[in-house]
Formats: sequence, structure tokens, C-alpha cells
Amino acid sequence: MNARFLDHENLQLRNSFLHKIWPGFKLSLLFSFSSFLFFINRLEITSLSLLLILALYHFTGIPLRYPYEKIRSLFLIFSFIFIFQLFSSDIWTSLIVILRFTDLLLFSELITLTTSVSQMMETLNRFFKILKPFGFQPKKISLTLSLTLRFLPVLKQITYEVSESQKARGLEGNLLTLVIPLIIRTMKMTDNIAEAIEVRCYN
Amino acid sequence: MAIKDLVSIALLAATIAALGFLPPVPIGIIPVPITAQTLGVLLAGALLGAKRGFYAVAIFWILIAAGLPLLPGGHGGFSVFYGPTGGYIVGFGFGAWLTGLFYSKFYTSLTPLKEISCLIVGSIGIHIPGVLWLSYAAHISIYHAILGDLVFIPGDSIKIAITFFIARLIRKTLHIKY
Repeated sequence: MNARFLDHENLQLRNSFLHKIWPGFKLSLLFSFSSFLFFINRLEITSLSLLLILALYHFTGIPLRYPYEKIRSLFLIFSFIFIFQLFSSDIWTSLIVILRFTDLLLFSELITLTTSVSQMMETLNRFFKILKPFGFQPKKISLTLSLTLRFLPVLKQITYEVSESQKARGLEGNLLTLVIPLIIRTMKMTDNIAEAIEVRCYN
Repeated sequence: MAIKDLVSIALLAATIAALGFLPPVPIGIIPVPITAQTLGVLLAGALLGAKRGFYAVAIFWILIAAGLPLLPGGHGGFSVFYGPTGGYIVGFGFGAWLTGLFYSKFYTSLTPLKEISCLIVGSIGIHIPGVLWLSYAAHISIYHAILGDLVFIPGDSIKIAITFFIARLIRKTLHIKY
């Protein structure tokens, strides 16, 4: 999984025309493309857009094994849906359904691969700022987001410590004895962290 | 929202993410392995209540949408919302909200039976958007989508049992108020 993540990082830092487009524009493109695809039930349009997306992958310099692996991980569900549609309606409907899923998955994956996580966060943050009149509090959202990102390695450390000490007691492989101490230790951290933030005069 | 609420939301969101890293447990006959992620979702509802539980899932959504590989198997990015199982990820929020709603409603008179039914309602809440999205996006009738959804039942009942034990123990140890 780590290797996969590092690969993503490499791809996200490349330079192509898709990397340079403003992420907000890419996201709105994704939403309009998806709503367009869901209203249109024609095989030639879905297959044409698949070709277009694969061409975009090629021009961005992303090796085609990425879309291939994305589809392969969902192969079981896809074949299940395909066979089901084959029996309940005709082959054209099943092809359209599968191709539409493939289009949407590959296009959204392309956007993820050409936008770095920090860029995407920034765009989402800007989006929340626009939604401020509707009760969104962008500052609190971004504080919570960064706290969550900070807590991930902390939780990993706690999980490691708990699982090591349970191993010493001969309790390895038991989900309950791992999760209960993990959650209790995490919840007990709440007050300390909140105090630490308040002491530094946040707000 | 006070800082303490924000911190507890962040901690539970991180817990949901961390439970996704636990390796999926395959169970015998059924092709769907059990992942611990929905366990975290139910826990967020049970420990934080409706509003904060939903916010914890919302933070998790934002992190996924930003492209972090936090779902089981290292999946992430906008594409997971468009896949056939995207509805279940949207259902995480609804499930956490429902669990929290019922927990806070019966807070003063929680018996084990009531607690288990809260969790069952919550995990049905996870499945409703999942089934609706699957039937809409894949052109399957709702009836057949529900039929396909039944493969999750054994895994979900195990998860509900585990969540019940955890939530009960933790509520007693930490004196949680909603």
C-alpha cells in the first residue's frame, strides 16, 4: 500500500497540461461529465468518451497500467453486474452500464492522479468558504482536517503499542482486545489536546 | 462547536481511517471479506452522538476526496464515490447519524437489547444509500439490489456484536455524555 501511495505522489508531481489546470475547473468538469453520462444512454458516446479518457491518460504520461489495475480491482463486481444485465435486459444495456462505470472511474482517477492532495484540500477549502452563508465554518473544518491528519500516525503508534503488549499476554489476533484499548486511549487524549489548543489562544 | 468537540471529531475520524488499515478478515463461504471500517463508523455514532458522529464521517469523506488512500485496500480519490460501491461510502454518514440519533434518544434507558437495535438501525442506514446508488447506477431493480446486498449480512452482524461490546464498555469507562 505504501508503494502505491509513493507511486501516486510521483505521478502527482509530474508536469503536464492536466497538472497545470486549476483543480476547481477539473472538479466541475468531472461533475458535469458525470451528470452528462447519466442522462445519455447511447453506446457510441460512452465508448467514445472511454477512448478520449484513455488518450488523456496517454498524453499526461501516465502508464496505462494504472487504469488497467483500477478496473481489475473491481472486475468481480463488474462481471456480476454484466451477467445480471445480460439476463434481465439485452447486451447493449449491459455494455452501456459497464462502460459508463469505467468512464466515470477512470476519469475521476485521472483527476486524482493529476492533482496533489494539498492542491485538492485547498480547492475544497475554497469551496467551503463560498458555502459560509449556509453555516459552514471553513476555519474549524480546516483545523479538524489537520488534526485528523496529525492523529493518523499517533493512532498507528498506539495500535502498534497495544498489539505488542497484547502479544506479550498471548492475545494476538483478537480484534476486541486491540480495538477497546485503542479507542479508550484515544478518547482519553481528547481533553488534553483541547486544553493544549485553548491554552495557545485559538479563537 | 467547542474545541473539545472538534478534537473528538478529529480523533474519531482518524479512528475510522485507522480501522481501514487493519487487514480484511475473509470468512469461509462468503466472497466478501469483513473490513473493520464500518465498525469505526458505528462507533463514531455511538460515542459522539448524531451530529458529531456525522461530522467525523464528513471529515473522513473530505480526506478520501482529497485523494488519500484511506479505504480498505488502499483505495481513495474521487473515483470511489463513482464506483458501484460509492453509495455505501455515502451511507457511512447516514449510518453514523442514525446510530447517534437513537443512542442519544434512549440515552437514559439503554438496555442491551435497545443498544443492539440502535446499531442495527445504524447499519441499515449505511446500506440504504448503497442499495439505492447501486440500483440507479447499474440499472438493477431495487429488489435485486437488496438481494445482492444480503451477502453483507453475516459480516455486519459480527460487526454489530463487536461494536456493541466496545461501545458498552467504553461508555461505562469514560462516562460519555451526548
